[in-house]
Amino acid sequence: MLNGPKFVEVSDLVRVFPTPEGPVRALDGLSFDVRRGEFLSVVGPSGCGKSTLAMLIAGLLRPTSGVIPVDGRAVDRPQTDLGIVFQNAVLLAWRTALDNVLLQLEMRGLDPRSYRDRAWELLRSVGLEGFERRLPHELSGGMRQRVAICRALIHDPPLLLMDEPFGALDALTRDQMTLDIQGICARGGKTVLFITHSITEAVFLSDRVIVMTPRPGRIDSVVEVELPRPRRLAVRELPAFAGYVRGIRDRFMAQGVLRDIEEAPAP
Amino acid sequence: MTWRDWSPPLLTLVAMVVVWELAVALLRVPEYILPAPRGIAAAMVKEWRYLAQHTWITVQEVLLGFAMAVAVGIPIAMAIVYSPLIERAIYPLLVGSQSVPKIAIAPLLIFWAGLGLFPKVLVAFLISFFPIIIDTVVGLRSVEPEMLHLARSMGAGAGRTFVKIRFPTALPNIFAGLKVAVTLSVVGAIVNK
Repeated sequence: MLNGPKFVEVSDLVRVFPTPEGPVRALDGLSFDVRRGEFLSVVGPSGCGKSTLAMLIAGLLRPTSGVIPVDGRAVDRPQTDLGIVFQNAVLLAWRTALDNVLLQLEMRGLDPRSYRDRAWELLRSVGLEGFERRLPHELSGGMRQRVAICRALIHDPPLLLMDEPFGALDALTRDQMTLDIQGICARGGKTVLFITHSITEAVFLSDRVIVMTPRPGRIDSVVEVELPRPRRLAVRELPAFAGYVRGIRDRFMAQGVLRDIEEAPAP
Repeated sequence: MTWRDWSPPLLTLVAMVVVWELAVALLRVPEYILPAPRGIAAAMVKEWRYLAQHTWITVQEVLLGFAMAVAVGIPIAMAIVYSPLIERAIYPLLVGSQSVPKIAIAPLLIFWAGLGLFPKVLVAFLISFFPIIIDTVVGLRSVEPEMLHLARSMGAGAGRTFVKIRFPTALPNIFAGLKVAVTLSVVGAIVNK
């Protein structure tokens, strides 16, 4: 995946937010590429501008300076050839799971009827068979997030932006969703930008992990994860996996984002 | 609705009427202070033609005032939500104008608009369009920002986003506003008599 053609090229990206206390630099000179078909994670502390980065790539925010060509075209308006998943599922309460997935097409002025079969199939592929006609309040948090993922995939976009998509889920559901996302992205050959707080999640899913610094957000380091795919949950107990996690954690320690206890014997 | 649902309020009502009737009889309350329910019922039967005619006029005033409030209030609320300039220009004035008691300007309205239907409709309208605007603004603003981001990433314009997302999301608030407004427009129409 790492030697595919460049799909998203971020170069010297700066975003400054005006606030009453003066301008705040959310992102300060970010440069990196996402290759076609790559799974790239961005991990960093709260407030490091990770979500801003996703918004900029989606064209929902303008950069203060710098450019972001996606597939060779500079982003200067909201991008439509992508799928977005947020931390909250943001489903419409009066629409069934199926109709929430089909919203993607109605909003594009397409005929949702011709996508029904595909929507059923997608919902089934994420374990929601039998829940197609349920309303959001009848679904668990994990199920709602699965519906949101199906909505982001129904139009088969080449790029998927996920902004802490598992942030509001319990640990077991997170594990299952991580596996499901791996499967979905491998099957569809999607390019994925995955934003998370979780080092383990980032290492498990990614081809590369970008480690961010606290505000102003800069790239601290980029870690290439060379673990064979598909990855089982047990891969997390392998020494190589632990090595990647420790490497990223050490970066956060060096930044002062994490501070270990001092008077304990070293393991 | 079953007997279980409507029997408690019905029995309460009957009990209240009985207490009223007994109180008027036992305490010898003069009729010009508080007539007994039986007397009122008799008058209603005797004067039904006159009462029905005037009830119909009041219903017209209420409904016209309410309809005007909806027709004016919802578009103003939309303008406030979609245009920061309009919001800054009229929202404070709108809220400020509510400190003027409409009842107090009712005589003025009669002076301007003459007697008849119109001034009463106008008061019903003036008194009821405010809650419609406020609740519609709150409702239209209650859409999650992520949902609006998604709508833009789906390539939808403002019109389609309004029809499919914003307006339906605001409906519970809009109905709450209508509920308050319809009772206020009854007050408005009656007070002006």
